[in-house]
Amino acid sequence: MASPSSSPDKPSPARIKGVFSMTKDSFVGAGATRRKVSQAVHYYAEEDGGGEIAMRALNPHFVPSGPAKLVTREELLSNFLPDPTLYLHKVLPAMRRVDESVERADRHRSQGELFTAEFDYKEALSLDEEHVRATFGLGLTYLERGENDNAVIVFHRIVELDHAFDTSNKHLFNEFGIRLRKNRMYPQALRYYFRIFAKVKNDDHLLYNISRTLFEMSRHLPARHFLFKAMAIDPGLKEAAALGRAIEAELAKSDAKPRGRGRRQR
Amino acid sequence: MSVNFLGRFLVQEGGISESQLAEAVALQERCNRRLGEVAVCKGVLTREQVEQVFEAQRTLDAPFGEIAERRGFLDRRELDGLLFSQMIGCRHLGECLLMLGHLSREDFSVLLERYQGGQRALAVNVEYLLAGSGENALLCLAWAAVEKAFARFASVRLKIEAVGAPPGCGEFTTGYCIETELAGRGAARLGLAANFAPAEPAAALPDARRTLDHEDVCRVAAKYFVAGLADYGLSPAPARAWRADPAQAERSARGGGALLLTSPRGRMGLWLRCLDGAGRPCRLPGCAG
Repeated sequence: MASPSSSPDKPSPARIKGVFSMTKDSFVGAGATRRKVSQAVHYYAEEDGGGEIAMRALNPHFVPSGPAKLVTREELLSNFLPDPTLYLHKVLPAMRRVDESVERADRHRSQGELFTAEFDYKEALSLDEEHVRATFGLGLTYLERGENDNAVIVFHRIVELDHAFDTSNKHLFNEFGIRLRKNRMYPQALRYYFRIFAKVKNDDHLLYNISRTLFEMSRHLPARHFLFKAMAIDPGLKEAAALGRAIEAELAKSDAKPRGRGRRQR
Repeated sequence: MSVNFLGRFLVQEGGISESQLAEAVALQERCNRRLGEVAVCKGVLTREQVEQVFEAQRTLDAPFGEIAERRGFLDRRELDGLLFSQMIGCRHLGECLLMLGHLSREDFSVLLERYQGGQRALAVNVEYLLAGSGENALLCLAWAAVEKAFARFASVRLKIEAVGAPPGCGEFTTGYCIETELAGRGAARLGLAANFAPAEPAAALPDARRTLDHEDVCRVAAKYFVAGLADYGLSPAPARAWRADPAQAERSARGGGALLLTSPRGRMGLWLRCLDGAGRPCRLPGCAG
């Protein structure tokens, strides 16, 4: 249930990792039929290096799913009981199955085997519908296949998943945003980037990507605005100079165009 | 290579047998749930609400989720969640074949690539032929109406096999006619003939829409067609749809645009003809000649 520390000199307390349960009492029925029922609620708990314990509820497939709730060791041990049997016989095999499916899917996707990648991502998601890596992977698979309608469904899912934008998934959400733009799904790409922007205001690459998307949508003034923001954070940002030149050239062209009546008559 | 469905292609290529295909199709039907079924299963909609949406969809050419949202049965967020659940539960025929162990991943990848390459080339040809047809716009409306009605209410996926030349009616067993008057511009007449029967109720899933017979499906197609004509600015009157002999269905609309359609269950002929105020065949109004 717990993994021992690897330090050879002074053994530190083993990190907690396993399933913990608590019994919740509730009432069902009304009047004469009202009665108390007890229900066991199971969580998967895993301690990080800093001593915090992330707890995630188990879904009906016995897979920890959804966002984690942080608790202290004391809170965990005083309110929950360990359930090693459930962990070893149900949860661990289910988690392994999900991980193996996602790893296989990632491998297939990287080799351009997009059909089998889809199959394996869906296999993982059928066990854990909130699996962030599998959701991004499935979305990227559809984008790479040019199936934009399916990608839109995944996109809507991703923007609803709060934990999708944790820093641990940064490379995935960057790749997904770029792919949306490359597939010319500009409204989705912008909504996606601003969803991240609401959480992270000072990411130069994010600001650059917003600028690039706006530029491709021919919205040159806001594109310049976001490029300036990106360059304010990192003046040496690679590719920013080229994008800046392209934006200025487009703005100069629109300044040179005739305005008013002459323009309408064309 | 002609327009084909993946399953048929795999059998023709020797990748799987007929019985393996049938087994995979049956598994696919069990796995792939309609949005209404997913919604009931997740407790988002009641069965009564699903029935109401189905009923509305018989006259309104709109996706299930859009109608349910418009009626206030669910919100956008719930709809997005349902679409995602439906998507990850959906199994393609190839996936079912892999799950059943009838094909290896490697063999399937090779065959799929070959199939997709051929179908992509044909899709371009069909688009080109449709664009070149003098009566293309209304023919496209008719095709879209028939395709959606059969997909939604008969679980039959149709593809265009050929443009302009359905064979004689000998192969067809049932026929239907659809006619609508176009305000001040005569009428549009659609003939349909098929060589396959509706799914047997025993094979149908517990979904009200899957048990519609072809005559009812054609009535739905007629309503969708009228809605398409109205969007096209032709002010159509409500359409009449009736069962006819296949030869009659062809005769009634012969001489205009025509399509030969194919599905995993059989073939269908579609003819479209416009009549002027005196009932004589004429070029379709508003179409490029």
